[in-house]
Amino acid sequence: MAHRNAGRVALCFPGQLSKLPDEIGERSGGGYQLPHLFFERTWEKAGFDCSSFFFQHEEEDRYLNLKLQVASYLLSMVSFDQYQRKGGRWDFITEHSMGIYAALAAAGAVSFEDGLAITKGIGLILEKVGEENPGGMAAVIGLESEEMKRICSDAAGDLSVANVNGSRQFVLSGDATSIDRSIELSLKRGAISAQRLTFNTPLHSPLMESITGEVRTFITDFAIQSPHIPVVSHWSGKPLSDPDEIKEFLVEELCRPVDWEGCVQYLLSQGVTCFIEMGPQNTLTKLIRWIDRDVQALLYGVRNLR
Amino acid sequence: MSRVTEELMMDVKKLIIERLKLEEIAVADIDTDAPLFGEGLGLDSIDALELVIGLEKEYGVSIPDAEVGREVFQSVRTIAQYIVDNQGKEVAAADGSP
Repeated sequence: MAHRNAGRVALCFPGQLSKLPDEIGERSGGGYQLPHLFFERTWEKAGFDCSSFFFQHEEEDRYLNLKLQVASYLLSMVSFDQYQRKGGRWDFITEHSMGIYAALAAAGAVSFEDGLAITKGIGLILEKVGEENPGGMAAVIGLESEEMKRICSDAAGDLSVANVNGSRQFVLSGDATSIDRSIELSLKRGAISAQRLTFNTPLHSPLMESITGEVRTFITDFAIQSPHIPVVSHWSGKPLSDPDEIKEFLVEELCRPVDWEGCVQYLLSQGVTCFIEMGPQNTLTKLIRWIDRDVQALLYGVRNLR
Repeated sequence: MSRVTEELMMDVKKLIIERLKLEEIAVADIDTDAPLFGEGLGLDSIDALELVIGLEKEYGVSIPDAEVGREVFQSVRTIAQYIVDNQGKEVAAADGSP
């Protein structure tokens, strides 16, 4: 990839995909048959059979979020691997929400296999929460921060801002009733769009505090190293470097909002002039376009998988 | 009611390309009557907000809510028609009051 400027480059690892892309879905004929080393390794080294995992139709809906999470991890890692092999360079690694697992693997803080195991393990814990105590998330586009806070208080339930993706792009998290109410209120108050996301858990909200113990125990045994370069986390761009701090982040971040706008602002202040999204969708690219129209933001998609 | 001109539809296409930074798409690639969202150009709600801001800045017309947005953003032609119908008008408040 050619770089048209001499500024610094940030690789961006997105959160959960909104749908399974064709590369990994029905048309591909099976996950581990995909001719990429990572798909083979998921089977051989992590005991993870992509093929049966992605094609269990009877449980498709039940595990949709887990599948999307694993697919996001794999496809981001494939993008990153291809970018790296083409000689692409970077000065920072950053991430949005569940993109943290691929970001840590890309930065060398965890192995590819451990990153996958963490993604799957936390995904399973989240699935359990969603079944026992259903909640949800909604993306609201067009309203400003003050209005979002008012909606959270007017919905009169457990509802909070889970993502600040820009000055008029938010995600709310809460119990199922409050989420439905928040969509109604947002549309009534002039949002250009308000819709439920696939999540059945109120991610990035205080409602997740009930599982911190379980997640902390699960994370304990993983070998986490200091990253090769700073991983700028989705909390106002605080760089993660210490392994213990990373473990704690993986637990805490589930209960705290994502500040993507703050993260991008921090990177801009560090001289980043080019943001490259690793994965099949251009979600972060579009959010960066809103935050700073002059900066270069592009997608390094998944190519030549078949 | 004023008529939509070819020139205005061309300008709307330019606005879409410029506002959404669609570097790989030319004016000639956008079909005047093709859907902009989902299929067609495949725009999403984040793009819709960009277009709302673009229309306010360029033509002084506002999209008060999602329902109007859905009507207006069907195609280049419907956007152009909305500009012609609403330029210089006060738009109804977002809370639905007339």
